[in-house]
Amino acid sequence: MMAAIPLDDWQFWVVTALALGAAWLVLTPLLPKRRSKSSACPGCPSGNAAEKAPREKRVDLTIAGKRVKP
Amino acid sequence: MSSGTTPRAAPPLRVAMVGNPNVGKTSLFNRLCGVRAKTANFPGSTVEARVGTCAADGAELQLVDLPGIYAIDLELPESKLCRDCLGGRLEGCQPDALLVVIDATNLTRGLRLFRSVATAARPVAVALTMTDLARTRGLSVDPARLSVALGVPCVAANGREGVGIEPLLAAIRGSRDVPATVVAASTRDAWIDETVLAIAGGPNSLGADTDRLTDRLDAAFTHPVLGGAVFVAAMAAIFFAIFRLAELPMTLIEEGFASLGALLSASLPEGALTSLLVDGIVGGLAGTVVFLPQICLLFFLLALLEDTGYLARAAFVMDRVMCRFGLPGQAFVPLLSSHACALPGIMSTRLIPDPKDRLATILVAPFMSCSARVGVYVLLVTLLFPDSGFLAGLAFAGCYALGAVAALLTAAIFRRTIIKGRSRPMVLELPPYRLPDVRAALLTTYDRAVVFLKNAGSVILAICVVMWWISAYPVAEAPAEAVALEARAVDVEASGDADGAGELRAEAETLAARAQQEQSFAGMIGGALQPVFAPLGLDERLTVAVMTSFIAREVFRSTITVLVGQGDSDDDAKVADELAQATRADGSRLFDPATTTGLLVFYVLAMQCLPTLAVTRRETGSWKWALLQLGWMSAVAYLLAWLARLIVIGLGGGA
Amino acid sequence: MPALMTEPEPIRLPLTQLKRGDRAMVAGSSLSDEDRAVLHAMGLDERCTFTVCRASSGGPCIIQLDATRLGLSPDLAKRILTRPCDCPEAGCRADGELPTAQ
Repeated sequence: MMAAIPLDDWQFWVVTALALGAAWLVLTPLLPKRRSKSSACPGCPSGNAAEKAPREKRVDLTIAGKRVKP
Repeated sequence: MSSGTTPRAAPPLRVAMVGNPNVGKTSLFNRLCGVRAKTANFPGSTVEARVGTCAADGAELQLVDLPGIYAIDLELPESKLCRDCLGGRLEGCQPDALLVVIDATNLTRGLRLFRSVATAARPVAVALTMTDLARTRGLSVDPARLSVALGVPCVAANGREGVGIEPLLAAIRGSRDVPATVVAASTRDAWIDETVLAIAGGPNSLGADTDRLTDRLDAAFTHPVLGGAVFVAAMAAIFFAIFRLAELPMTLIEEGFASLGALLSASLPEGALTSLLVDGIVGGLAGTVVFLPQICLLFFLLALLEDTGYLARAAFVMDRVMCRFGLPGQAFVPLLSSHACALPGIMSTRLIPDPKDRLATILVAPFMSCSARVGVYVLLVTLLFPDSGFLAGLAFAGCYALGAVAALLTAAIFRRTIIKGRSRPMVLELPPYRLPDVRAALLTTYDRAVVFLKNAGSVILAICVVMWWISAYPVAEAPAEAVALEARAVDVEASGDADGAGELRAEAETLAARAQQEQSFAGMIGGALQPVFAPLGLDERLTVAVMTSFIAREVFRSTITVLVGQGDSDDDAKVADELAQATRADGSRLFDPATTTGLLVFYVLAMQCLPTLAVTRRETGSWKWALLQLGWMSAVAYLLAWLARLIVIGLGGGA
Repeated sequence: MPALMTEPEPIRLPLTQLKRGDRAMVAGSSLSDEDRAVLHAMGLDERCTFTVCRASSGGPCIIQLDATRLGLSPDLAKRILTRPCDCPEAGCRADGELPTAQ
């Protein structure tokens, strides 16, 4: 019995594109992310003193994976 | 606003809610926002906050329910998050105003926190909660006097009963900066005591609890023996409720999706897209949604139990046992939750304050037998003990026990080797016992369900699409036997025997499906890896089934029944019967006791869930811990499955 | 010549040695600064008077301070030193009594 890839079937190309998209969705969370240097440091002052502290890079707040616009 | 253009609506007032733990802050938040709330995750922090909106006089308020803190300057993740939020260092969480929630029965602590946030240079309003409880304890607190003392609006409110909500919203809108005189006065040591004297009164002015019932309940629930018995009974009741009550909705969900799949198959033209839609997408959705009843029930019951105040006591009972394995008492909630699904279980490790304890809990949580494994357990224990329901049940329970033991022993090993270090000693506030707030529990459950569907659901669905593709291609020719059966079916149908024709067609389809599975990419992968699994007694077909279930456990049954049986069916006994008769190439039984036992042990212990791996990577912030989890669990599963098989062979249970 | 008569040291007991119903004040600890700060923030500092609700006999020690009930693991409780209110020098507040303004 022979198995074959139906290259002439347009549906094959559509489902393959969808499967590749799905594979990307699966693998992306597993890939190492570029480290953000923007996490606030534990020793940072709070309150008025924070305004005198050197400005740090802000980090994004996400809700359900979507970035919240400020 | 620019002139000549339509005026834009004012941006919503963003209000951060700050308060000690157990003051009723979240109840207020739930009352104000209800389901219009979502869980927010802050990068670099393990702590969650909830963000929601509520309407007040036509204007929108955006509320951020920050985690409860005892002080803002502690080196704990919750305090750090609050510091960052109030300090304006979190994009998207820069509050315009603060709502400080103070417990009327704990004024000293509440005022201490107020004092530390008063310098945040933002308008403040105060919500005074638990005034009903204070009254029952003979304590009276005057919100008006508190307002004068603090220089900001102060309102008594009760989130559970919805009392004082409108005045609270008015107070938030009228919030103002803490007067400089109050800020200056609050720096004195005596300020708190003076303020309490000024605003509180009554015979029991500190609300000290003389509740003998609480004493008696605590004595029982934290007793070394009785406390353990109560805990076991409570957990058994939860488990029983989960598995029994979830049965019907799970069946309905499965049947619903099966009907949908059948409808689509019948309505749409045959082809790859229809097959992807029916088998990949609808099948994938079914595979995700079917777990929702168990997950929802578990979180609902845990939320109720937590609200009663019992869980904090149970944490101490469990601490006695779990500390021997390097885990804190609080780890029992995530580990228990992992019995429904490791995903929300791992996410709930955020309540564990010590980072090492938290990491250890995350790494071992997948050992707890989750819902996805149940189908596999049922199939394999039925194969092992076809004639004894009692032994099958015992084996089923043994699977859960094995998983739990593996989790504890692994934690003990990790805490002595790669995650060494002393844990933070355990101190917990024990909230008062009270009747649980069902509304709050429902909101928590809804929130968790949404998180599960969004986090796990999308990944599982994507996995099912990928799995479908590697099983669908290359396309195998129908075997000659299947073609012959189809031809016979046509003849049988022409002779008027529709049932007979149906059976023949079903058999032809199974043979064709088997050929497809064997010749697909999935089959090729299984064939290539078979030598690795040969010591466990697995042939190529079983290897394919095991490998495909590394992506998602639940596909094992459908894969193996196609490869070995007559296709999947709801009848467990029928499926087990068919599998029991399957043979290897040499004619010996495929599912002999030794192989079945090894397979069962493998499924108890192996890490076979890609969404869990992804969540581990996210929660630990590192690839290395996720890989360690995968590697360790795979090695333990392989080794113990091999040993189990050897033992059963030694006992005469070979083929 | 060194003074022979000195004030006797007030009795200090680990929290694990107190019994149910005993009232005491905190009189030191061998905890890390971080742990001490957490307990302080929860209300357990040198100025508070607490009552033992459950003695630490192999299990958590449960204490009541004002309206707050805290559970402490035995490991933590044994590192907290206390001055029982039996001692006149302890300076305990009466149950439910408001702090005196200074």
